[in-house]
Amino acid sequence: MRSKINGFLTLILAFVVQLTFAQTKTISGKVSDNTGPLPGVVVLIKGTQKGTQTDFDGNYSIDAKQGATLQFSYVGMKTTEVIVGNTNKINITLIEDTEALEEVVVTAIGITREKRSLGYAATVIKSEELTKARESNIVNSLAGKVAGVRVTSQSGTLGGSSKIIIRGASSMGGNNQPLFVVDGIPISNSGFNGTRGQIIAGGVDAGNRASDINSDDVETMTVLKGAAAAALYGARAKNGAIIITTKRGKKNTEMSITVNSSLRFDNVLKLPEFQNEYAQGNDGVYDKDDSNGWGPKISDSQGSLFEDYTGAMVTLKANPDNVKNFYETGVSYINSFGFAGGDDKSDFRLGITNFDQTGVTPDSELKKTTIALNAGRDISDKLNVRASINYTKSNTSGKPAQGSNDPNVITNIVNGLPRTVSNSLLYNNITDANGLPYEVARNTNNPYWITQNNKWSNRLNRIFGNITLNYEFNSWLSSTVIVGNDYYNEWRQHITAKNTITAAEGRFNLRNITRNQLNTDVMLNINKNFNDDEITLRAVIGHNTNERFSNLDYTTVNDLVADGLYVPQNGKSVAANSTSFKQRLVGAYFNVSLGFKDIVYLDITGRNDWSSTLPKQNQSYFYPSVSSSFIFSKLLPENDILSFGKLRVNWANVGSDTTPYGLDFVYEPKDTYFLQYLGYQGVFPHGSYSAFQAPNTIPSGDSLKPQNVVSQEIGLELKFLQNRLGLDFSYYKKNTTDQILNIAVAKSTGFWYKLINAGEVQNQGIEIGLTGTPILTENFTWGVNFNFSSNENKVVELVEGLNEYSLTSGWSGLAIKAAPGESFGLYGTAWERDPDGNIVYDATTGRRNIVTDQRLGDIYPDWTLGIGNTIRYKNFSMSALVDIRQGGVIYSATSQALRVQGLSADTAANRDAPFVPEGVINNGDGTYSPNTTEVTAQAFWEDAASNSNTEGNIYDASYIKLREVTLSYELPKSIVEKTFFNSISLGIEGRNLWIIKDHIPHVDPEVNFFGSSLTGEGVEFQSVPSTRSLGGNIKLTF
Amino acid sequence: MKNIIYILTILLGTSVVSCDDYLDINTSPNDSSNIEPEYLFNGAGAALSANRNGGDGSIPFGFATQIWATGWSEGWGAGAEDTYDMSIYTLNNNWSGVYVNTAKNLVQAIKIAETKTPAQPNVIAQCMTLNMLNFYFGTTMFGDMPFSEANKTEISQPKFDSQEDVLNGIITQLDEAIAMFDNSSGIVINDYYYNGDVDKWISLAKSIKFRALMLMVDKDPSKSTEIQQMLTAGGMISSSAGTFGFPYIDKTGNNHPMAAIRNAYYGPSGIEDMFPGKSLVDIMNTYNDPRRSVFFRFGYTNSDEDEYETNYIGVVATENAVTKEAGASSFFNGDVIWAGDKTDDLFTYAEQLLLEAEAQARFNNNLIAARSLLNDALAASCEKWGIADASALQAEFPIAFATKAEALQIIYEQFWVAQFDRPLEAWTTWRRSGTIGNEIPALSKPANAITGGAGGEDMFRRLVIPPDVTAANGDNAPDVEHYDRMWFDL
Repeated sequence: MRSKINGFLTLILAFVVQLTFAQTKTISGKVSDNTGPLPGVVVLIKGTQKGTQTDFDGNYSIDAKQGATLQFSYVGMKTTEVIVGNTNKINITLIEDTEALEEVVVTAIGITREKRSLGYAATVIKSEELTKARESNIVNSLAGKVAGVRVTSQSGTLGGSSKIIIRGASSMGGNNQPLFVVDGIPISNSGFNGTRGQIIAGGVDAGNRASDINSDDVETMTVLKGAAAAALYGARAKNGAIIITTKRGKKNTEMSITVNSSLRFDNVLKLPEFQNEYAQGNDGVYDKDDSNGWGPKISDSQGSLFEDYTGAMVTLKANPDNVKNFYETGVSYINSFGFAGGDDKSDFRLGITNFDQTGVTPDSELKKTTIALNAGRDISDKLNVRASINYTKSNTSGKPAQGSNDPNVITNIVNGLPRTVSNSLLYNNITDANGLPYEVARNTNNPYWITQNNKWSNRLNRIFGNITLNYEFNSWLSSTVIVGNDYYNEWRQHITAKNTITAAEGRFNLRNITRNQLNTDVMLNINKNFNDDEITLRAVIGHNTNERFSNLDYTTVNDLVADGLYVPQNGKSVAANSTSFKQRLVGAYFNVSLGFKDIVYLDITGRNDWSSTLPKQNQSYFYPSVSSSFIFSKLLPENDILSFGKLRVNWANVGSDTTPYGLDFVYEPKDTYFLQYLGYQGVFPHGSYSAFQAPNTIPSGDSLKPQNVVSQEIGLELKFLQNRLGLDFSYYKKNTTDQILNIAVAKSTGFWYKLINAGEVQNQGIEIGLTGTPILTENFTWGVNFNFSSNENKVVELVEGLNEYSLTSGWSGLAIKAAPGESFGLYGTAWERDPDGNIVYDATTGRRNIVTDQRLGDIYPDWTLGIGNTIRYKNFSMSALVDIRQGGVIYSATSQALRVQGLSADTAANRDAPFVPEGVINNGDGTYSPNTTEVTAQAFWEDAASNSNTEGNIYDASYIKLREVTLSYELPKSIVEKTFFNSISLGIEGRNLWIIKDHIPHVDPEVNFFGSSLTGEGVEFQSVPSTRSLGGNIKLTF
Repeated sequence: MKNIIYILTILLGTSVVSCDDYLDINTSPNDSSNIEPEYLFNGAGAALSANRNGGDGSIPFGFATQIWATGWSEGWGAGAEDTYDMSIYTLNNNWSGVYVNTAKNLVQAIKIAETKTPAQPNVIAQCMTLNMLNFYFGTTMFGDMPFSEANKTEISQPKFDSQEDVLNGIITQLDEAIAMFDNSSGIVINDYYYNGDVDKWISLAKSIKFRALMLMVDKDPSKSTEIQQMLTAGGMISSSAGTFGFPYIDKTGNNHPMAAIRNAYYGPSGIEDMFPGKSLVDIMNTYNDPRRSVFFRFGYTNSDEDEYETNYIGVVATENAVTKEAGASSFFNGDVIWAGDKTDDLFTYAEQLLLEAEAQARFNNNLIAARSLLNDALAASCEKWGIADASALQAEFPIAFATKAEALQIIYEQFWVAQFDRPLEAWTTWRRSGTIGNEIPALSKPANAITGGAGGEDMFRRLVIPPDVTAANGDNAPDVEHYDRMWFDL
């Protein structure tokens, strides 16, 4: 980027070439770029020595003859020529010369490279993009901005998790998340949320740990999409990598202070549509104990009094907004301070950000403080030291439980409220005269009892950072040593207070999670040019060690003695367990990059890893990659149409290891056992009897091999019309073989899974990035960009004898499975249909017939498209991002429950009398006749939306969303100059503002119940509704 | 320069040289590769009873068999299990209970015991016996199921064996276990049930075999020979001390699952919303059964809940319970029948006596012996429930059975009463108590239950194969409905 100093230098320079005498005509005007007036632009009359330069406001004035050519040049900008015509005023906007800028990209292992030389796709997101509309979770700020990158958030839970999938999910077993690297050091993005069972049964969206990275401290975020790009990271980056570089100070600058403050409001984006005509009960008869809408018609019942849950006799009245009123407006305060500066040998930057947020569910709050320090110093001419340290402290309280089988699942209670129960009745009647909570319906708690008493809280302390030593032996040889560590400890507590309905004795659990990752790299770097710089050589030889350790202490406490006391010693029954994992990886790698005349580049990498998690004989594995870029525009004659053209092609192979301790048959000490309706409440020892159990996964033994990804990519980058139009196209194909999988075995084996190498998954797709600047004038610029991607996910083969593989299964036969020839899909029970597609009914019961274990749709979209618009008018700028997803399906448990309960708007029909659902009856002889069996609306929905009939609750997951809108205003220099600030900008930011179009009732199609720790997608399961944010922001620099 | 390269070489060299040790950390610190069989046995036993007694193996069968009732509009499980609509969890948990939680650990325990020197025949036989009881319960829920290929790490998709083969397999393995028990070997699992008393284990193994034969004999009359031989030979459970029960402890975490559910859902005060079925109460009323005051509490006849109905009144399946008015339905006396330290009776002496009574009547035509055994069974059951003197109850029955039919009617009714707290066993006895439509006690499909097969064949007769099983082992799994009768069920 151009700096003010550059401008100033040019200004001085210009005095030297100051025009000496004037000619016939004085031309004046203003020169700007897309950010505003440009000082120090050299204006020359072509073919002469005569010239001038623009002043601080970009104004110039020059005498020239009509017909002469004015040449405007400036560092980093395309030199532009204008012929002097009739007018005396020539305003001009210069555009960036991307070629000249030599944009650099931080690639794997912290190697910086010119973007043009890369043989693979890498997208860089700059800090301005990240802080335009600040997100509490940095992952979300990638949504819609990078082709091939898909972000889904689990829920609207405060501090909730987001999942990122780059170029399709390639792994059937578990983790498909990219590697996060901060300043050269891999860090944890754990979405650990308990086991699958714990997530389904009242789990909490605990968040993913990449959210500890504060976007205010990030300078750039580079998305390395393919295996070639990340080959040097090896195994851990098989799903791509997000390379984050934190902000630094600049040498020889005075200290600057940046203050960035935002105030943001969150509310619920989408709520269910309810019927408001019928009260709770059964078959039209009122029953206060039912949490449903199958009771009498409210308008027909005005003459009678009915008992409400408090025992009061009341007239029935609908409360259309009872659910809406339960959710609150969340408020966030984000205050960030940046201090940066440097002397001739050092630079530093200190960032402090405080994040204070309340959620949309009552009594929930998140407080987060991050401190980031990045400082470097030249110890000598040859030795440079840099340290980067990031500290995060984050406390959350009151995150709501999701899923089922737990009294604390808020959305289930709130959505299930009878229409006659008002929010104020609930709020004002939590407990009865004895201080005991009211049962608002059978086995149902008052939601305010839950939010006020049954809290989920956590406390996180995390510190990650690195020390980098760089020694230059001579002009072409240097060595780098990076030692980094990422440590965090998180304490979690989930309370179910005494007297809670269905958990009268009270219980709680504690989790203490510790993770540490130690990473070292030692590198020797060669950077040498030959043959008059025609040939460039860059090479790196390196050695890496990585150690990951985690420990989880889990304590469950049942039956509390004293009320309100949540320490294990207050429990009548305490079960505690502790598990720890350690794995190590040693790697040796090289990267040779050759360039010829800045036209052709060739990169070769190779890496050998030794992993502790694999059997001895398969512990070592080597994988290479080759990539090349060819800037063919260099060979074309200079022209006005094609300004830049590059072809890139690559091939890579990446091997990867697995999680530890999967090889041996071992026995696990048991501390608890399962009891239906109670969870793991049975405890060992039982009296004096202790117990062990055999594993649930059949271990692999010594046969396990590393899994393998082969990826190929070809890409084209084109820029037209002086860079006003750009195209970036990629086609890739990625095959993952020898997957290390826990394949499901029949439970009659006694096991759930078997760990083996199996299967092949192929992802292939295209990505098209299109950028354009349709309007470019002095005061008005309109830029637009499209990010299109389409990925085809296909299971090429599974294990012999296995025709499908269950990635994740939930309940009621619903599962996400892989089957050969298909993409990962949602499976479950479907309706039986006649050859014409009509639903087949049972003549006797009037119920629909079902067929089990049917494929019900893809979980992944056919394509996604992000459309970004930026508009600048004078000092105003505005941006808007529309995010489109097409294809795939979603299962909605919220919709399911609302229909079975007779609460959703569509269940209000056909209540007056039984009706005949449209469909057919199997005559038993291969023919079908129209259904004639009458059913009541209640019977109809209890069958059609039953949770054991998956198809009834499946919807198209496509959507169009207004993802982000920002509006900012930079105060004019003329005003700012009068203050002691260097710049002042004001902004309004909005995120997730509007679901423009979707195909699912009641819920946001984007939510993903499985969060980031499981492979599943396409399932909404009583998730907390997603939120819409709107806020204001002020940014000051001193 | 040279120095630095030297140092780098050393650095690189050191890490490569020590690579082997550095990477040799893949032994789990959380688990043990060497464990005594008894700990696997303990886990398996606790899991078996946990599954049998809570929300998976008890409540669903209680409601579906009508021996318990939901009371419909008020009750727990109404419109679900009492209408034969079994939750997916019930299906899955009962299935994995058999194989994953119980059988696997017992099979592994046997494997470990087989490697031991000196040999541990008793340990192996104890594990086998418990496992065969586990499979007996399993097949009475699911019918055909993997048996011969089950619980083997090398077979990912075990074939389903017919129920006949499963039951014959159980008998074969019990015979092996009986032969293996060795009083001279001092090594034994000091178990929950018998504290390692080998003689009791031998009796139990014989009793389980006897029960399996009795289950098979309607379909396979040839089994009557072996039944007669076993009756003559004896050596089965012969006293209340021989009752095979898992001892729960009145302490949170170790208490009876039904007690834990009551505590969680109703608090210690114990409001009830499970009711005794009419079929149960009526039988007991017929004989003025003293066990009623143990099993039931009178219903309230007023809304203040201080006046009581004076008759024991059961509830018809899927019909509303009568509450707070005259004729109020009785409650289960949960504090007693589901006390925290209630034992899970996997095989009671009373059941043994009733089986023998039935066998005497059916296969030896010895109605006198049958009548005498009925008395013993009533005494044993009364004793179990704390009623010392059963003579009044015994006197309620005819002094001598007039006909075999009368004998069997009474015996099957008394099974119904004796097994009411273990609905799976009550259901199994009911299914084999008569041909279709002639079971004892006579039941009809509840008004609101899911309709099934044609005619009278729509009672609840089995659990269907869970969807997870169909998914993982679909080619082998039979396609059955809840109303399809099992092999043994005529």
